[in-house]
Parts: sequence; C-alpha cells; structure tokens
Amino acid sequence: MTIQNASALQGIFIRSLESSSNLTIDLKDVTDLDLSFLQLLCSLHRTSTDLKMNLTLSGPCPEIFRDAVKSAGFLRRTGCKFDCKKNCLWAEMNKAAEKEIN
Amino acid sequence: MSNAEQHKAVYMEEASELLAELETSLLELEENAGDAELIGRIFRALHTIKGSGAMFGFDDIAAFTHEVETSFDMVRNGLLPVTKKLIDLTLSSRDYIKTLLDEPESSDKQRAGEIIYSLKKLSPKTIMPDDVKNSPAPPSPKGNESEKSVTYRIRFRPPVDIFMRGINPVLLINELYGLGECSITAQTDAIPQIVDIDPESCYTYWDIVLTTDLGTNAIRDVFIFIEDDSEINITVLNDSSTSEAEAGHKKIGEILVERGDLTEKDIQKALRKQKPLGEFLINDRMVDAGKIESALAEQKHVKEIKQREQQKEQPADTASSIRVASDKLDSLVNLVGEMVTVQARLSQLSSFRNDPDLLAVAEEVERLTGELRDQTMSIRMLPIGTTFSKFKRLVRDLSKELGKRIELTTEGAETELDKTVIEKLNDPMVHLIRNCIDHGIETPDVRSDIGKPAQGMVRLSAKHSGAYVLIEIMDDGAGLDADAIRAKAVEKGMISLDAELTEKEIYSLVLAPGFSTAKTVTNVSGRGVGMDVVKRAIDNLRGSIGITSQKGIGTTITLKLPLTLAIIEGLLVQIGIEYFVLPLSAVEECVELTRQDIANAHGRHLANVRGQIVPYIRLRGQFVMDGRPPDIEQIVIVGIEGRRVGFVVDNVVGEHQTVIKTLGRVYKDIEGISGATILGDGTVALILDIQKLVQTAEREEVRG
Repeated sequence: MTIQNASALQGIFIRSLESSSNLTIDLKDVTDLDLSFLQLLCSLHRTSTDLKMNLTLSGPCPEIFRDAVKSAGFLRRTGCKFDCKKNCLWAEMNKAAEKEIN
Repeated sequence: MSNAEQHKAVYMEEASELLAELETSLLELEENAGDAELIGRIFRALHTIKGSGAMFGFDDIAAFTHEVETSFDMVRNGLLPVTKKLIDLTLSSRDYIKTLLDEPESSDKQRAGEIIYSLKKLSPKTIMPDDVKNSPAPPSPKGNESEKSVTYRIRFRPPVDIFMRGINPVLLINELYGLGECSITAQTDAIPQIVDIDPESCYTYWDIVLTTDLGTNAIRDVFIFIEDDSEINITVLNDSSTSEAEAGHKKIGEILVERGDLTEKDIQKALRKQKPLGEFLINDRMVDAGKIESALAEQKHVKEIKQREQQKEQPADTASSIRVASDKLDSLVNLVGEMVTVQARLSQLSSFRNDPDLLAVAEEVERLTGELRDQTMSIRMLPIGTTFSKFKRLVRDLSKELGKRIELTTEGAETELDKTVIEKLNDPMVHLIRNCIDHGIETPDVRSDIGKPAQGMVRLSAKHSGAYVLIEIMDDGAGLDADAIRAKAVEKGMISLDAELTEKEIYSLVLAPGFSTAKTVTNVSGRGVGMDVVKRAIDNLRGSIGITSQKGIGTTITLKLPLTLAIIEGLLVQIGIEYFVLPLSAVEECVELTRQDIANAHGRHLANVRGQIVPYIRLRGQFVMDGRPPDIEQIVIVGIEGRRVGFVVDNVVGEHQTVIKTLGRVYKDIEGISGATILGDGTVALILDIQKLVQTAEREEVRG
C-alpha cells in the first residue's frame, strides 16, 4: 500500500465505488503503507460520503497502520468539512484508541 | 515495477552525487576542523543518503549510514571533536556506502561492523546518541518561560510532486520530534475526490506546533532539501516581540502549548486538537461563523502573500537545472551533427541554383544551425572542477600511504570542457598525479635536507586557450633526471648512444611504452606501464602532452585538449580529387609553393616564408596519390608543439564546419588520419592528424 501501487489502488477503489454501495476495507493484511495510501483513503471517504455510501474500516487495525496514521498526524477529533456524516475514518480511529486507553 | 526501478536509478544517481559531495566536504573539513557549515553539509549529505535509502529499499545503506550520521550529529552538537581519525573513518564509511550502492553483493559486512565499532569508540561513552537527540527538549521544570525555548507554529506544505522526488514528507515531519516537543496535525482538505486524485501527488499539508530552543534554522534544516519548493511558514507563537494583534486568536493555544507543567501526553493530546481548539476558542468568544471565515481568510491571505513572494523567487530556482540522461544528450549531439551536414548541403545547393528565395532560406537555416550547434555543445560542457575534487582524495590517501606530506591546490576549476573529454581524462590524470606523488615529490626529511618546505605541493590548473583547454599538473618535487632518462633510453635501444636530443625530446621519451627510470617498483607506479597509456589516451582525445622540468625544482606536465570531440572548425583542402580537413585551430597561414621555390630548395622540403625556414610535408607523397600536382601548390602552415610545419596541398577550399565521424574499427590503426567528415555534396573528407603526420615524416627523415 505504498506509492508504488497507489495508481493501481486508485483504480480498485474507483471500480469498487461503481459496483457496490457499502464499502468495507479490511486492513489486516497490510504490511507496508505510506502517506499516499492515507490520502487515497481520505479521498475515497470523501467521494463515498458525497455519493451517500458507507465506508468503514473493518477487522483488527494493524499496528503498522495505526503508527502510520499517527506519525503522519492524521488522527483527529472531528472530521473535516467534507465529513457531513460525521464518520471521519481518522476521528473514528481516534475514538477507538481513546476508548482503549480509558 | 518500472516505476520503482526508475526511482531506484534516480536514487543511485543522487546518492553518488551526495557521496562525492560528502568526500569533498570531509576533505575540506580536515583542513578547517571547526567549520560548522561544513559539518552541517556532511550531516545533511549523510542524512539524505540514509533517508532516501530507506525509502527505496536500500536498507543496508540506510542502516549503516544511520550509524555514521549519529556520530556526525554528535559532531554537530559539539560533543565529538573533529579528528583525523574521525575523518578517516567517515571516508571509509563513504567508500563502503559506495560499494553497497554499486555492487551490493560484494559488500563486506565485517568491514561495516569494524567502521561502526571504531566510530562508536570515538564517541564519548557517557553520552548515548538518544540523549543527544532528546537533550534540547525544552520545558523548564518550574514552568517558567525558558528564555531560549520558543514555540513555533509551522505550516508545512510540501511540493505536490514530493513523492516523485523520493522524499517521504512524514519522515521529515517526524524529524521535528528530534528538535523538541512537537505536535503534528495533517490538513487533508486539499485531497480531491477519488476520481480526481493523482495518487502519486501529495495533497496533504501539516500544521505543526513545536517547542524548541534550537531556533528557526534548526527547523529549516529539516526541510532544507525541499525548502525552495515548499511552503514553510514558521511563526513564533510565544515570542514576546509578537504584538498582541498578531498573536490574536492563537492565544489560548499558545498558552496550552507553553504550559511547561503539562505532561507530554497532555500536550500531545491538546495539540492534536489544534485546529478544533482554534474553533472552540472562537466559539467561546461568541464570534460568529462569518468572522471565523474572515479571520481564516485573513490568515490565509497573509500566507498567500508570503507564498506569492516565495513563488516569485521559485521559478528561477526550479527552472535553473534539469537532469537529463547523458545518452539523450549524445543522440542530440549526433542529430545536430547530421543537421550541420545537411545544412552544408543545402547551402551548397542553393548557391548553385542561385535562386534568391532559396538562398534566403539557406542562410536562415545556416544561422539557426550554427546557434543550435553552439547551444548543444554548451549543454555538454561541464566544469572540470568535479574531476579535480576527486583527486583531492587520491592525493590524500596516496601521500599517507607513502609517508609524504602533500598539498593539492587547484586553479580554474570552473573551466568547462566537453563531458566526454572530462570522462576520458580521469584515468590519465590519475596516473599523472600518482607519478607526481610517487616519483616527483620527495619524502619530508629529504625535502627539509635540501631546503624545501616539508610539505610538497601538487597543483592542478585548467584554463582556456583558443579551441583548447590547457591542463597543467605541476609539482615541486625532484624533477625529471634528463641524464637518467637518456641513459635508460640508450640501454633500451630507443636512441643511439650519440643521438643529439633536446631536453624536450628527452622528456618525451618517458611517454614511450615500457619506459621507467624508477629503481624500485612500488605498487603505486614504476612498472613502466602508464605514461604510454596516458599518451595514447590523450592522443585519442586529439590532445597533446607537454613536459617541462627542472631538476630539483619540479615538473610540469601540460595536457592540451580540444574543447569538444564532436564538431570542429576545419580547413578544407583538396589534393587531386580528394578532400581533406585540417583542424583550423592549428592552422596559422597559407602560402603558395611554386615550381621555382621547389627548385630553389634543392630537393629539400623547406620553404622560405618571409625569411623564415619552414619544413613541409608533401601530402601527395605521404598518401601515395597519383596524378600531377598543379603548377602552384599551397602550403598550409600549422603550429604544432611550438614549431611551424607546412602541409603541401593542391588547393585550399576554405573553412568547413567539420562534424567528426569516427572511422570504423578496420581503419583505426591508420596513421595520420583521425577521422572523417561528410561534405555538403555527400563526399567524404578525411580529417588529418597533423601531429601523427609530422611524427611519421620525422621518423622517415631520420631513417632516410
């Protein structure tokens, strides 16, 4: 899930938007990722929100993904201005993380 | 994946450049141990090698370089002094990285271990690298505003193509953690919809709040490689000089950041919410949404102005250079060569037709082609300084090995020379410099015995001289021993015992194959293979070697090289129906040779030019060409190694833009011809190797 296959991934995302209305991304097999992947997820979320579709991250969240999100500064409390459904991926993750701490 | 390979290739290229830079800086540092800027440069070079290495899967390089970088971080922080040992080790590290880069299979893990072990031994034991990194952590325990610690707000917007440049912005940002307490918020609002996004562009930018006592320069250092193309706004949040109005809405955030008594976790938490916090703040003050927008717009506006100002400078920066594969350049030069040939044909054709319209077009094409040619040639020109700096290392290592003290000075590093010439010049230069160090310069005690400074000197200089570049390699060593060379030449049967040779001729004997006067063979030089190889290499570049020397004072070797190998200005001459080209830069004048002159010389090939005797070579005879020469022949007089020699031809046609084509392998051993060119009407003209022709004629004269 890095810049090297970002183009391919974009294609997959676009196709999946066309084929279904509920998207679930399973991250458990992710072994490597970088900022380009986070951007793609953000972008996908933005589009799916516009299209009134659901996008969720499923399965146990791998450590590597959490670290990448954290070190890129993507974790946040509230969603961005496009996040009208209040289900920003990063905010959700943050909530989950805080729950764990508490 | 081709994309990944491409990135790797770019990395390899960049890393090589960085390694070269590293080497130069290290050698400079050896001379100015305290130069902080140099240390910074070395650190950044290491840092980039490591960072991009990790990114492109060169994990070995990244891991190894990290260790070296750690040491230099200590140097940078004044914890580790710059010593000869340190520089030696870093130079070895540089070599090791080079091996990892060029031939990873053959890399010697043990050597890496040894280097790292030695580097670690140098570091002060009490201070671990981690402490160094954390030491600047700012907050004072009492919660008072530390005088030095300043909190900055940093807006970092990397260039859109940052991924393509092989830089991972996240790694850069995370480096800020090393400067002090820091919180990072990614701004994602610029990310487009999935159908519009270019997955290989970076849309994210960051707001960072950082508390550090290292100053803005340290922050800028982190972004140094992309500073010019990025938006990096650093605003001081808690500096007392900031006016109330400017501090404005940031106040609460600022306070939260600066409350030193907050734990790290609290700060992290608080700062993570930086943007919403700003909104809370405004909400608390019962400011309406429109005002928020306008406040934001104002903020944005200020930033945009700054950005615009930055951008004003940017275009020049980004357009100032572009990386092009050299084979593309080579094919461009070839095409320009073809173009010049075709243009010559066009000019010739148009002058035959005598059609004014056609003539006008032909002239225009001629002018444009000339410009195109000059521009293309200038693209291929590189300053010779890059080669010079490589020799610094050579001199350093060799003189150490041989127990000599030698300083290398250079001059005219900015002199430009064709890229191919520079590349082919490297080996001969290495050899000549080795000779200077090994044979030329004496050991320090010998030198002080004869009243010379203990430190020897090798000077490299380059300068333009017409269509040539002169490169001088000068040493202040023992000089050449003319008698010893002579004796050796006699012993080898190269000259007869009673041969009368000028000093210059004696010196040129050392260029002959198998010649060495060194009494002992060292692993540096003395095996007698070398100078002839140097000579051949320089000949192949259509250059020449001159040697001057004074016993006990030093030797100067001068290489005279043509500026370019691809196109020369030539003088087109005719013998019978054949055309030949002489390099115009060597031609001094043309005079007539009449039957009467020949009769007056009584069979000797000598012409009287304004009272001066000039020997000449009859090319018709030299090339065994049939036919009867015209009654009035022409002598083209050329200057060669300080002498004047004439070449007798039937007719001088005129100047010619000569695009040099190499003769095939079959013809490569033909003496007196250095190449060929295609004339406007499609016929081939041979390019004369005047130096060889003169030598051949001289040999025949001696024999005959």
